Amino acid sequence: MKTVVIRALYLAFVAVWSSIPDTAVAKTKSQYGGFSPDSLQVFYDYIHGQEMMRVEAGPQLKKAVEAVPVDLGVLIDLKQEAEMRNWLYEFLIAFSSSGNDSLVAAFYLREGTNNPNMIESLKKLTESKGFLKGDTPFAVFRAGHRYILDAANRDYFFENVSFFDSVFKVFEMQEAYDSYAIYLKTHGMVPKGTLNFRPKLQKEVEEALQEGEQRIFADIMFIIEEPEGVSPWEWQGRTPVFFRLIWDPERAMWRHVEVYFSAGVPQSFLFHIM
Amino acid sequence: MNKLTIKVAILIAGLGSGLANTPSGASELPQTAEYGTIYDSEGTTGDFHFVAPYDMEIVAAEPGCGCTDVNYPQGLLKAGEPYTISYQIDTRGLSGAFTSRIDFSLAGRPDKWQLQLEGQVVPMLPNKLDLGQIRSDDLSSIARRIPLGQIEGKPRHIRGIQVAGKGLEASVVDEGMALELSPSVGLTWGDRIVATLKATIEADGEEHTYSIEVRGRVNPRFSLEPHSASFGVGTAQRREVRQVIIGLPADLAEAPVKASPLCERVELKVEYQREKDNNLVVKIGNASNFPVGALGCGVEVQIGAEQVIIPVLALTR
Repeated sequence: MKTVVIRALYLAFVAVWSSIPDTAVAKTKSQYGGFSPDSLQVFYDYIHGQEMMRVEAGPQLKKAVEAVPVDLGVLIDLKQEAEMRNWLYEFLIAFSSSGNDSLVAAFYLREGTNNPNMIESLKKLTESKGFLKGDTPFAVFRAGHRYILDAANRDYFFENVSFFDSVFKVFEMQEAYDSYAIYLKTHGMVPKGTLNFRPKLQKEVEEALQEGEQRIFADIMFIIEEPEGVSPWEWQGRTPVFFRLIWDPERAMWRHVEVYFSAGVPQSFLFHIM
Repeated sequence: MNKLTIKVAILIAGLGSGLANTPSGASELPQTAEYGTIYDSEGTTGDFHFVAPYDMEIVAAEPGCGCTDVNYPQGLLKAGEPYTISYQIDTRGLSGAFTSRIDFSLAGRPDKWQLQLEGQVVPMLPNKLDLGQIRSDDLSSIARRIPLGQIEGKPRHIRGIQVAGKGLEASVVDEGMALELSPSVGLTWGDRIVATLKATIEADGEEHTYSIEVRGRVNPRFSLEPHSASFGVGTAQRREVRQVIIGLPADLAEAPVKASPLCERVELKVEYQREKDNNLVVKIGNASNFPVGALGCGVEVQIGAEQVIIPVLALTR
């Protein structure tokens, strides 16, 4: 019976996102956004037509991250820019073959904890499944990530990445918060099956803006590819990943406000638990 | 792929995200639960009692459309025993008949148990109002009348209205049967409307307080696309040109134009050209090296007697 249930669930997820790319893979062209929900083939051709590079700690990835352009809608300084690139590099490494459960846990906890109820839920889950070793948030995230990897039958999430249309779009908002989701929807980058994990911070940001505070944000999209051989299909799953970061001047760091990624490529991040 | 993969991924993701429902067949379990009529426009919680028709275990619940939360009995449910499922329905922004569904995955059974929650929502007032982008030369589009939702035989009245925030005024009209919104005095181009209306409503002999969040923005006098001339990040030696299109108000379509750089640390070359639809295309390029570090300056564009500043932004290593 489990086979039937799992098969149905699997198809429901995978069919909406990871449909097989056309036999003739379209040549990559800069067409970030503007995809019609009625013609997802164009979208699939777009993400599957891109040249990927291996996510591996070292100078090659650092150089690629350094080369991601920055669109300045508001002025930031070189330290903020460096922190933005460091964040991207560390994120990719933590979830790649160069990372490990501890690096991932440290990445999740880089902002500290903000959601004790959700951490408690994850703690109970990982404890009941026998993954939890320890009692700290670090141990909980480490166990949570390992549990997800085991369940997804893979050792890490990212094999390859493409920054083909990636841009750090830096801008400011005041008074009202405009969700990244609006941009994604109007640019057709959110097919069905996309998961939206909004860290608790978003609510705080919305309230701060409404009180008249001004905040600096950075949006970025990049395309990642899952490891070879873990997909039941003949190809490696690819998905765009979307992050909205906010600059925290007190901590001098970029923090996560919104995160979007695909359910079609099993990458169950724990950003909503932070 | 490991057969548990997707299932576990769903459970993990389900800790905080909405997932699509998967259609499946019927079961011997009850298919519908009535939650009745919701009047407060916020939502409701309810309990659904059922008797397990056979020994069963609920292993997961997927609330439909992201609008419900659900708590279900854990472990083995014995045949013939009564059990309770608690649910929460968020009806904000809804009006009229509303059906929501919860899909339960049962251990050892291929099909899901689908439970439909049926009822209706009779909101007093909308809880959110998005006025969108408002033309600066026509603020009258903000004005509107919002009727108070009524239940037959149980009249409600608005007894008072308070406005917190800016950009909006509101009053009670039609003998308490509606609200009327209008732009506040002094609202002008570029202003945001960020207001919370708190209405005191009398219904069934009791007073309720009801909030409406109103948002909107009056278009600026001049639009900039993009909002700045961004030279991004690069070396000091780079030579680049950026284009910004200024949308002009109709009364300045023929006005004389003059553009002047306001940057002391870099020499800028500025060209401009009128295009159709009252657009002024401004091209900004650097004629000298960018200074190392952050550069934030601008180009002043004088259009008739008015000025627009185009921010010029660059980071140089």
